Amino acid sequence: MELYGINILGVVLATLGFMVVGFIWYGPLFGKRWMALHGFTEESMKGVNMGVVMAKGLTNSLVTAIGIAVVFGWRGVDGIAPALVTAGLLWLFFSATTQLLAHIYEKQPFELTLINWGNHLVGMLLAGAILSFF
Amino acid sequence: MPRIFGHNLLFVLLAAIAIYLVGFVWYMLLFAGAMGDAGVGDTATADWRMFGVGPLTPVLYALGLAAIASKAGAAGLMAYAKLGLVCAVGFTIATELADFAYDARYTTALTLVDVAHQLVILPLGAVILSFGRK
Repeated sequence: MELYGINILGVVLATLGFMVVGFIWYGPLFGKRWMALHGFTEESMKGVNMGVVMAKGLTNSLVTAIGIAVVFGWRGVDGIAPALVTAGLLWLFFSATTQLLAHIYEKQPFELTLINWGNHLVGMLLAGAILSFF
Repeated sequence: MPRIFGHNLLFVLLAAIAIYLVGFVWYMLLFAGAMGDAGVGDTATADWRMFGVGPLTPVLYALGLAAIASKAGAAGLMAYAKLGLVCAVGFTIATELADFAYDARYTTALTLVDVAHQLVILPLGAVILSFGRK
């Protein structure tokens, strides 16, 4: 099923893939370090409405997946290798650059920027790989 | 004049300069207190990152737009504006939304300022690039 040339199932699966990467990245892999860099504690996290956080995270992942699907359509991406290259370039030129702004102008610790870069790179590559099958 | 990603290098540089200038006006004049009010960063305290790495980000945005436009076969001012808009919404704004989702310091007000900034700079950069395609 397609909408404006975008495969809906592909976008849904890519969104889920992106979210799963985020869950693993900010959970078992780098969760404790990420919390420490933000100054969060187990106690301070208790007051957070996780439903709202998840809804915002879903929006970010969905918008990214749609963006990748649109660019794939423009570039006529066919196959997993071109999909990975395109997703990697989109990460470098747009996502990583935007996250770099937080390090430059908002004095975000570079270690935190590295963690965020890694999450978006792996998430976008996975989303791109998934979309290459649709 | 040399070309890069099918675009005249002069227009790539002009797009990067325009993106940089808009960012300066946006955060230093129009919404000077936005980051301070949210308690993120300190643009008043300049350091090597602002002047050493800061100018790199608009160059990366301009190169990314040129790369996508080249492969997508974009032609004409409106096609470039649309490309800039999609890259803004799909990637840079999506990245801002991730900060909004997972970093409590990113208030709704600051996120709106950041999102509006991205909605201006990438279409503007893309439109400038459109004159360097031929």
